[in-house]
Amino acid sequence: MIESRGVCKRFGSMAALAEVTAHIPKGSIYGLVGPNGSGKTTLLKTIAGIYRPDAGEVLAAGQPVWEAPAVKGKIFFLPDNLWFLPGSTLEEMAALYQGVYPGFDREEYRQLLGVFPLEEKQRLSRFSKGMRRQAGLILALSCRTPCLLLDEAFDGLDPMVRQKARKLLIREVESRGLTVAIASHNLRELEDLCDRVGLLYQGSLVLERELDDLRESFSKVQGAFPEPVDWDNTGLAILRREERGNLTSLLVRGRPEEIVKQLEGLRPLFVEALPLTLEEAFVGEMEALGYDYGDELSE
Amino acid sequence: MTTVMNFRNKRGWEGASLLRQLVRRNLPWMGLFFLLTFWALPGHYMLVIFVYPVWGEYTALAALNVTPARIFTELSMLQFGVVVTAAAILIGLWQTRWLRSKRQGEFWYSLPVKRENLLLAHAGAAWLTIALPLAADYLVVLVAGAVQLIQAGGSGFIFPVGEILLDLFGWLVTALAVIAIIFLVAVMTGGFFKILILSGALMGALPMAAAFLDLAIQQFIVGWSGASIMQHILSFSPVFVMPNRYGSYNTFWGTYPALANWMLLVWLAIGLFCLWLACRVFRGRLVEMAGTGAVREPLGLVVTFLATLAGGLALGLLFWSSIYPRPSFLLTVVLCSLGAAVLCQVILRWDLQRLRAFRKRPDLRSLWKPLLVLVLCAALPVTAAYIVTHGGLGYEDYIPPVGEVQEVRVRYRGRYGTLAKRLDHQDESVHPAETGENWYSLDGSELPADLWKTWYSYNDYQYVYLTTPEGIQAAEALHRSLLEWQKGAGEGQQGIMGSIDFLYNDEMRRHYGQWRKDGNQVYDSERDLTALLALEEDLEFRRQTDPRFTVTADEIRAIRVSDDLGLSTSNPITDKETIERLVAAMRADAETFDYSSLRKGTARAAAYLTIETTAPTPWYRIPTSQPGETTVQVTEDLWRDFCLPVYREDQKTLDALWASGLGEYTGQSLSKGKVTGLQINWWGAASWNEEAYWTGIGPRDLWPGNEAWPQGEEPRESAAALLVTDPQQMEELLALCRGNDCHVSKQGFTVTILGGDRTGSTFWLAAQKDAPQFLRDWYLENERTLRSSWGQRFQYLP
Repeated sequence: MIESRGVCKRFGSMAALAEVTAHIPKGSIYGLVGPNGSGKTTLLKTIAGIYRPDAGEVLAAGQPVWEAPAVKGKIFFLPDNLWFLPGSTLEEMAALYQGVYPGFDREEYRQLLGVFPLEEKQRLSRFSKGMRRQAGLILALSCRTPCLLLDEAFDGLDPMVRQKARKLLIREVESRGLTVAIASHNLRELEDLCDRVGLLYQGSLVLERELDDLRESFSKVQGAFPEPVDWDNTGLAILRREERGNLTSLLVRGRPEEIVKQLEGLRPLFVEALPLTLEEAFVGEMEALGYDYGDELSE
Repeated sequence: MTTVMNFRNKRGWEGASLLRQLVRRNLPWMGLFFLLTFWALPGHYMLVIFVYPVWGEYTALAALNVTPARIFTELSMLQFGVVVTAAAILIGLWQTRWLRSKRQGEFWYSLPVKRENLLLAHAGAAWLTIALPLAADYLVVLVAGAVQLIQAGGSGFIFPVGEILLDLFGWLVTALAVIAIIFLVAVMTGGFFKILILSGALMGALPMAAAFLDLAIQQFIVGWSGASIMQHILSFSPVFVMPNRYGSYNTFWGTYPALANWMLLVWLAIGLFCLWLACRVFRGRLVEMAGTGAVREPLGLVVTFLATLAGGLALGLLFWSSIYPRPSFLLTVVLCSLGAAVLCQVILRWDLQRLRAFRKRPDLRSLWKPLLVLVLCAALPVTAAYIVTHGGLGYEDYIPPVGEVQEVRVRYRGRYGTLAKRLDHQDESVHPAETGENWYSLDGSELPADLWKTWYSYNDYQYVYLTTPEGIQAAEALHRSLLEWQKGAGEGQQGIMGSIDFLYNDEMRRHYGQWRKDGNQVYDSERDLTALLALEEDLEFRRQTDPRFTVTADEIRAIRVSDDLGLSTSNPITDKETIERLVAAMRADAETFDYSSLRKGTARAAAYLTIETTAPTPWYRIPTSQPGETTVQVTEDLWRDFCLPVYREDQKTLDALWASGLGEYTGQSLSKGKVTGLQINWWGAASWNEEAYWTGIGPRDLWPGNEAWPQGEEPRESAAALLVTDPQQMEELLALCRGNDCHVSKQGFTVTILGGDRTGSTFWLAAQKDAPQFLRDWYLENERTLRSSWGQRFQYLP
């Protein structure tokens, strides 16, 4: 449903996005991941029609988003750094959105107030960060746009509310084919939510894949090898290797069963495939790109 | 079940909902604004109109007669103007803050609203925040005025509904234009400081530049008379368009220039254009511009241009006037223009980071573009300064050829100008009325309000129109003489006592002015004087100024005849036939009289006619606030009483006097035997007040010969006055005495002829250069005292 075609965006001398081509299918939850400053927020804002691309274009349902209110009316962008009208209440913000979003649903708004129990007549400036985030989610979902762009959507939410929010999103995707794009550098919270992920690195989309495909394209294996192994000449696409005595852990590009089979040829004492987290898959990919992720993702 | 409801009015304007929300959010601002303006406008107004019977009707009416709408007092006008203008600026800045904040901007940009509608909604909210309280204020005024109108009936309460609505319209336009300019600037830059500076430059630079250019022109271009141009200059700014409208309102006539209304339409158009332009620009504005100091072109260029123009001329003039000895004005403008342009460019384009980077790696090649901009921007003020200091493109030297001039209007009425009909100096600010009825209160009381409109000052009676080649030539000769003198005058010598200007009715219709400088300079050369006297001798000029030509028998109540010494005076002649005969004879003599004899001082009086006119006696009184009912309708211009000599060459007048049985008063010093002494006083032309004209002090009244000196006013000798009783000296002096409308040079002596028993006396004039030696010696002995009595500041010729 949403497509960015060769989108470029520069801020002065810095290229925030470099020919980014991404596809966010209708009714999917798209995880936009990448390190800090990789361009995730810029891409979301460009999709939302806030930024005008220097080159390329963003299409929603085949129509350009930039300066097209009708198209923008189908997209709601919930930024990381929320801003509400000074001194406004949730009720007033709802009235504002109701005036500009054609699909704003007052009944949905009432229901969501039941899910996230917030005082709608209280000034939003008096809300905590998490409450403000909940208010943002209420407003975003009340607008009932076909597409929702969330930047660090769950930041500041407590686990219970986070869980509620995830369920709500999934419900909306299932019930009305909502398309969601979530930008985050916290991969764990996207792991069991997203259908598809895109990895941004230094403004470029270096990887875009279905999450299942991604998981299957990497393998995490460990084994004990009594004899020294010349790992450079094994023919394996090793992304990361750790050795502790005889025990060697590998992150390797390829399907697990094929990798295990290949390693068995090196006469290990044992070798086994381990479950691969999304985080590990990305770390591997990023390290392959020369980026030292370190422990950044292990929050 | 989930119901999707569409609350958006798809048929209406896309930004309407936003506008409503924004206006609702501005309600506290509106309330504050309404409170402030309520006190300034409806509060003051109701106070005045409902309590005016206590104050006195005319006082109240006068208190409100400050603006055309008659709803302000001077105080409330000031308060209201300041509050509305300040509020428009503040609300404009407040409502554009989202354009300066990236975070806020992203919020608004993300909404599915067209850019122009987003901007218009904000601009509309800003304007309505001002407009709604303003409308409420004026509504209260209208209701209060209507109530008072019903209560007051026909008591003279003035309630101009159209003007009140026009006033409201004017303030709404002011608010719109100010807000539109701020919005236009806001979409072209991203920082508060820049918006403030650039909006200020757009709103203030042009009037400032024009004002300083006008000052420079007045300073350098000889003959420039642009005193009234300031009011048009102020209209160049939306901030001043309403104050200027009020300022140009003539409280006496209740009128104001039509331009003031046209300027409202002009600013309405400019305001709408700015909004349209802002919408256009905003379409392409990037959100990332918010919070930065970036300035989009051509705004930066326009502001640099305006700031350089205003700054160059203003600073140039200030430096020029504050440095002594005076530098070249052109040079100061060049330096100040470049300085202003550099400063402007630095503020607009450079930040500290960029400056540091340039200091580290100076790239001179990158400077050629900014330098070109500086030079181009400085070109206009420098060109203007060059024109101003080099004769105003020939303006200064241009005097149209005589053959091309159909008429020249001279604002100078010569030696008889003191007979002009003036009510009082306090009325000098009143503009002349070309037509209309003129009312004057006989007893000095105030006139009913409906008569005020037609009452005018006689100060407008000041022009002479010349159409003959001789008259035009004389006027041009004087013009040329004054021009050459003034161009060559050094500092401190500018300005000539008296006030003359010329208006040529040719294709150019240009104006040339000589403006009085507080009466502290004297006329300069004999050449100027000669030219001036030549003008006064022109027959066409005389026909319009000399009462011998202009006064009619109907305007004369009585004539008294005095002999050449003034000590013997006839009874008043009131007989119409005699008066008509004398007037006709005077006119006939005036046609043939050689006026050069007045210039040469050779004319000798044979008698004097004291003419009492039909002007109402208290015509010169200042109106008071005392109630009164007596008024008189004045249907024509009036003469004050005056005295004219009958010269020995005025044969027809002399014959008429003989025919009227008054011949004994002519010629032979009937009262010579009565003279017991002469009191001599020294005088200088420059010492006289503004009614003293270059060619003399004008005809002087004779002291009534049959009346005694008032107690305490008897002539007596003092350090400033010489009493001559020696018969030989008296005879010598009397032989030198001239007619009282003769030219006597710039300084001379008045001679008061004293009769016996403290009765009878008259004033005469004698030129200092012709005075006998004993008188000159007396002058030299007492010069310090004499001059100090007139003030040391005057520079007298030896």
